[in-house]
Amino acid sequence: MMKTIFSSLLLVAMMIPAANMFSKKTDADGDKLIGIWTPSDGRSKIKIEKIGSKYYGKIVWLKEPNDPQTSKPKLDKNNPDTAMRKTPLKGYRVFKDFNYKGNKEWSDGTVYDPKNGKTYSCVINMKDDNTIDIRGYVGIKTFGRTDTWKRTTL
Amino acid sequence: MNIIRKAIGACLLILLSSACSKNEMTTFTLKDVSIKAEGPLFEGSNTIQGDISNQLKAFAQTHQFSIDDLATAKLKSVTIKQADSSVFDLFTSVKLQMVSEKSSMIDLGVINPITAGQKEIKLSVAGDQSNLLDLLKEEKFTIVADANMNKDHDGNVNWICQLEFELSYKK
Repeated sequence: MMKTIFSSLLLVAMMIPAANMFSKKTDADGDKLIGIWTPSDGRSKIKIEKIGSKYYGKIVWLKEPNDPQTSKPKLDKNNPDTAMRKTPLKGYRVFKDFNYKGNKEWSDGTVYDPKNGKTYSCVINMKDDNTIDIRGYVGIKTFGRTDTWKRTTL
Repeated sequence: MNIIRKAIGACLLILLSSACSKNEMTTFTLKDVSIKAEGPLFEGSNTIQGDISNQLKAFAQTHQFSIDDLATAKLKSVTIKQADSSVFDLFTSVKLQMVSEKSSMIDLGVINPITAGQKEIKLSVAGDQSNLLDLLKEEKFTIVADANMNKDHDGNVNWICQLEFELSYKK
């Protein structure tokens, strides 16, 4: 009996470091997110960069950069903070504060939708080196929407 | 009965004195905050950033209060100059933000457009300044500028920012 318990404990003790080894997150893995990405609608390009240990993404290209009503560059006119509404959409930081969690997942961040001025919780999963799933949600991940983005260039 | 009356009276007195005690106000300035970007920089959006160590603790000590006594922090003004005193003609707009490892990124202010010939730009200050006090209390934070450029630039960019805050604290 004692021998069985001892063997089980030994097995668990051996499995813990092995599990840690497989789930180990490295900077190099997290940095795979850095680059320029385009959403499925192809109407913009987002550059993801790293500030400190967190990841941020900003709009660097727009298919329609000008507001049809003013013929001038589009502004963040739906921002709930009226003082910030004159910020140009080109260069706007729509992804903020993502941490790399390992297993090709970045979370704890938010995504901002300039179309309605709302900010959503967001999780990013990398399917392969050139494809990511962006899931925006309110409250629980289950009730969200996923868009697949492809790596691109400017 | 007499004891209850006295207890109620004491409670009222405490409530009245706490309602009457006003917070002290003071101005705290982060001067000569250096933010940089290494060139070459390209037309469009560029990130210019710099790390700052906590200066609020020393300020509070000088003014004889503790940072734990701080009630509010409000950004009053943001100005940016180029370190070499040149004009901002390469830039069309600037948005300034603040972030730390522990706290989320917040907006500080924006200027759009930047008129030609300006040697110093003054940003419109963000209305929503939630979490600003928490960020200012941290040991280290980062100032991040998203600057749109109208053409490519081979050199580096070195800016000096000045941020003026209004603080209120319990005396």
